[in-house]
Amino acid sequence: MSLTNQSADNSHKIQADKTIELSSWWGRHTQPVNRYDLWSIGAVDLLTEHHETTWRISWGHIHRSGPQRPKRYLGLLQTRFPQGELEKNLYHKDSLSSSLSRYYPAQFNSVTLPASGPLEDLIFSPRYPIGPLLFYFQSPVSISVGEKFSFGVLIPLNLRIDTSASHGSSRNIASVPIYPLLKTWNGPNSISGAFAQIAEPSIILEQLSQFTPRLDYAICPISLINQGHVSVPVSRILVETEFLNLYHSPQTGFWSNGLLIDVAENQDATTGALIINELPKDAGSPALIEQARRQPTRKASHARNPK
Amino acid sequence: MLATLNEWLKQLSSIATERHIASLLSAVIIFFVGLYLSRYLRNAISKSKNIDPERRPFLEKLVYVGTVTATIMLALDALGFEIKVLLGAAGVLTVAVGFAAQTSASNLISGLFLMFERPFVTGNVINVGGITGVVLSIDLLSTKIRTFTNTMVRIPNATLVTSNIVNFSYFPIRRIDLNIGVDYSSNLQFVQKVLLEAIQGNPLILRNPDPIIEMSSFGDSSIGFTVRVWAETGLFDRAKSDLYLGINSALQSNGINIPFPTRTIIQASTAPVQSPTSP
Repeated sequence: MSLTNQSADNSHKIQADKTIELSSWWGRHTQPVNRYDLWSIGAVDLLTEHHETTWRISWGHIHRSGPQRPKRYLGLLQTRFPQGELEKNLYHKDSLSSSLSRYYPAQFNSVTLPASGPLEDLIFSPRYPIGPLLFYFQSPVSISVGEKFSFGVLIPLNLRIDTSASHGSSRNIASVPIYPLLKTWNGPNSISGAFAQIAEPSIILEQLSQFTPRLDYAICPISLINQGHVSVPVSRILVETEFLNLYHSPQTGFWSNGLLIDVAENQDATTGALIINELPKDAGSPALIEQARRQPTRKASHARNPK
Repeated sequence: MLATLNEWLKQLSSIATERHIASLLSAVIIFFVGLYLSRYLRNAISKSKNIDPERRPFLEKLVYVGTVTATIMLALDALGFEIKVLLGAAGVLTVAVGFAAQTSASNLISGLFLMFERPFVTGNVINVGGITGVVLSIDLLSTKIRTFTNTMVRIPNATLVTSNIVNFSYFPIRRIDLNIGVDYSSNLQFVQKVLLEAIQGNPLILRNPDPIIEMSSFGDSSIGFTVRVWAETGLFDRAKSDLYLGINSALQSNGINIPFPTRTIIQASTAPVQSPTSP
C-alpha cells in the first residue's frame, strides 16, 4: 500500500490515523469535514476527501494478488492537497503499474464537486457496470446435441457514491469500477457488431458451490443448452447487465439472475439469452438490491421466464 | 355625346385602377403567403426527426429556394405578366448561364450525389487528394473540412465525386500496424510473449479482434516483427502512441534491444597489393 510513501513536504503526506478491516463496504459512511478516508476494495484505491466546501473523490486501480478484504484508512486532512500531490502519494514511482499491466501507468481519476453542507454523509452502494460484458473461455467449449452445460461467471461490481444531506436529499457524485474494465469488440467481424466490456481478469466458475462469496463480484449462473442437430463450439458469452437484477446475501454474497442460452440458435452465445428469475440453491435467499442496474435502453425481447 | 364619352372613360379608368389594385393586392398576398410557406417548410425540415441530420441543410436550402422561386413566379402572374414568356426567356437565360456556370452546376449535381451516396458525414475524418481533416459541412457547391493544423479547406463537390476519398471514421474500429525490430541475438518466442503481454495490458487496445504478432523480416540490423491490433476509431492515435510507449518499456525491462542500423566495415589487408611486374 502506498500509504507509507511520503512526499518531501510533510504537510502533504497521507498518513492513516486508523485502519479498519471491513466485512462490507456499502452503506452510509460519516466523514466529517477536514477528514479523508482511503478505501481499498478489490483492485481499486479510493480516496474521499471532505473539505469545507467541496468533496474530492479520487481513485485508481492497482495490482493486488488474490482476493483481499476491503480496508478503510481514516485520516485527518492537514491541508488541501495540491493538484497532482495525491497521485504521487497514492501511486509513487515504484507502483505505477496498473492492475492490467506493469507496462502501463495506472489511470488516476479525480472529481471535485461542491459539498452542500458540513453534515453530508457518503453512501456507497453496489451497481452493475454499464454496458454488456464479454466473458471468454480459455479454449472453446464444445456443447454436444442435447447437452446442458452449467457454470457461472463473476460480474465485477461498480461502487456508486452518493452524498446524503441531513435534510434527506441525496445526489450521485461518482461511479467507480472496483475492477478495471477493458473495451472490446463483439461481432462476427470488424465491420458489424458493437462494443462490449471485458473484465481483467475474466473469471469463470465451473462449480458454483465451491466458490467463496466475494464482496466485489456478483455470480451470474449460466446454462448453455444445445437443441440443434450438431455440436457447437462456444468461445465467449455476452452478459447484458441492464436486464439483470442484483441480489445479496451475507452468507452467499452477490448474485444475479441466471441465463439460459440455446447455442444452436446463436453459435457464439452472445445474444438470445433467456433470463431465469429463480436463483440457484447455492444462492440461498438473497435480498434484492434496488436500482442496481441502468434502465434498459432497449426492449429485452429475450428477458422472460422459461415455460 | 361628349358628356357620355367622358363618363364612359371615367368608368373605364376606375375599373382599370380597381383591377390594378386587386392584382397588386393579390400579388402581395401571394408573395407574403409564399414567403411564410417557404420559411415554414424550411423550419419543418430543420426540426424533422425523420430526415437525416446530414441531409437537412441541403434539403432546407433546396426547398426554400424552390418555394421562393415559385412564389415570385405566381406573384408576377398575378400582376399580369406572361409567365410563359418569362419562362421562355428564363430558358434562354438558363442556357446562357448554364454555359457560363458549368462548374457550379457540376458541383451542385455532385453535391446531390454526395448527399445520397454518403461516403462521409459531418464530423468524419477524411483524406482527399492528400488533404486530411474533419468534415465541417457538406454544402450545395462545396464541402468544407478543417485540417488538424486548424485551417479550413473548401473542396468543390465535383472534385470529391471524382477523387479517391479515404474515410477514417467510417467503421467504429481500426487496425493499428506497428513494425518493431529486435536484436538478432533475441529469443524470438520470448519477444513474442513480451509483446503480447504489453498489448494485452493496454486498456485502449481491444481484446477482440485478436491481436496478431508475427515475425515479418530478416532486416539488415534487426529481426522484424509486425504487431496488428485493433482500437476504437476515435482513440486510434492515442492507442498507437500508448502502444509504442508500452512496447518500448516492455522490451527495455526485459533486456530486449531495439538495434539501430549498423554497418560492419572489414578492412582489407594492410599489405600493399603487388602489381604484376612485367618480365
